Amino acid sequence: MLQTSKSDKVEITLDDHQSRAVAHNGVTVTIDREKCTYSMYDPKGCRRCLQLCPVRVFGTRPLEKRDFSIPPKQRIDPTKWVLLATWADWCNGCAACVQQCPHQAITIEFDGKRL
Amino acid sequence: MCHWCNQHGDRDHKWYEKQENYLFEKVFPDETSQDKAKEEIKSTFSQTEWRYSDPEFIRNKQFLQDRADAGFGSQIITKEEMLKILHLADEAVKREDSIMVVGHCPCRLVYEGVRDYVCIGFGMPVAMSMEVGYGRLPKEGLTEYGGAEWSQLRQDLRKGVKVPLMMSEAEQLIDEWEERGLWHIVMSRGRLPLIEAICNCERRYCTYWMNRFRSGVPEYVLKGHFVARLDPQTCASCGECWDKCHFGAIHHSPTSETVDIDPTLCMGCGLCAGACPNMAIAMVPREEIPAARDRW
Repeated sequence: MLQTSKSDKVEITLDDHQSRAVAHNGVTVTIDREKCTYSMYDPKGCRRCLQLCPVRVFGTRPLEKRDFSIPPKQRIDPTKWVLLATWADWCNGCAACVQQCPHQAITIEFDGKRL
Repeated sequence: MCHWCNQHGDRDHKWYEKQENYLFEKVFPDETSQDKAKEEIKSTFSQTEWRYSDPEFIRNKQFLQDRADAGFGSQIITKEEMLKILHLADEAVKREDSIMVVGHCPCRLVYEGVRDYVCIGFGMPVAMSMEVGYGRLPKEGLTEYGGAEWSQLRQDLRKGVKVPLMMSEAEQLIDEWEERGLWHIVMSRGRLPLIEAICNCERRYCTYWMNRFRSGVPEYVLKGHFVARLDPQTCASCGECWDKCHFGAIHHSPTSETVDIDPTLCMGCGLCAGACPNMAIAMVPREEIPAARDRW
């Protein structure tokens, strides 16, 4: 599964292995989806990067859109949520998320150089 | 008067002070416009969180501008105005037999990953989106967009989402939020002038803040009708107000031990006025201050 979305400033690619945001100013934020354990439905689950980031680079969203045309009993609940670097171009390079991530799932590159 | 007051208000009332703007059937008088609005409610309801974190939507200036022009809009209000709005909404809810709920803020859900019950929604849009979404995950209540039948709604709402059935409950919640330093926004989600919700948020998680200050679409959240004015003679520069301002309008000078509020940056949320122990900050109408007069 591959989803791509583009705005004039950042391009996000999402597949089963990673979600990658490439921003126009040379910032690339990659989140390894196999390592990241973010789950909206676990109240004690890890949301370290969301709490830490001073410029709010990260956002989350359900993997699937809610489809209300499907009858209620047949719907699958969107329990899978994904972490995206929605505002990658605002990254200030403090690398707190890279250091604090318990699973080393986040990689940030500034102009190709890894932080 | 802001441009929404010019469009949707009248001479004596701001756009959110008019009783008609709370009633679905007054805003959408004929059946075709009602059906159209209903369809739109369904689609926005199913895609809210999806949209809030998708660059396609949140970062696309043209898209946001088109939505603002089509009737997405909100405005910052003070606590007193918020109470007035709640009374109007309460009357409207009773009149058209819809509901008023306290739900979680979708912005905080997307950007913080937690559910925080800080949004008051009311009127037919809320009732309709509940009708659309209800019917899954019986035990999780409304927060999971699932649950029971419509007839059981009120009962289940009490578990998952708080329903401020009494005004006193709502007033209590507002005091809590004021203490936490959350600003208040009155909003319409694509159906101006129909007023649907009051949102209490802070800079860190607010999608509307991002729409205005990051994506650059000021129509998404207008400045309030009031501006904070500081009386330097009563101000003791105690420091209560400095960290209350989300917009960087308050500055303290350590050299002269004074505080000043920039009227061009002030959004008029009134949090600083509420926090001041000496009553040195007054909320004055925007028209009275020439520097801030026509800046929305």
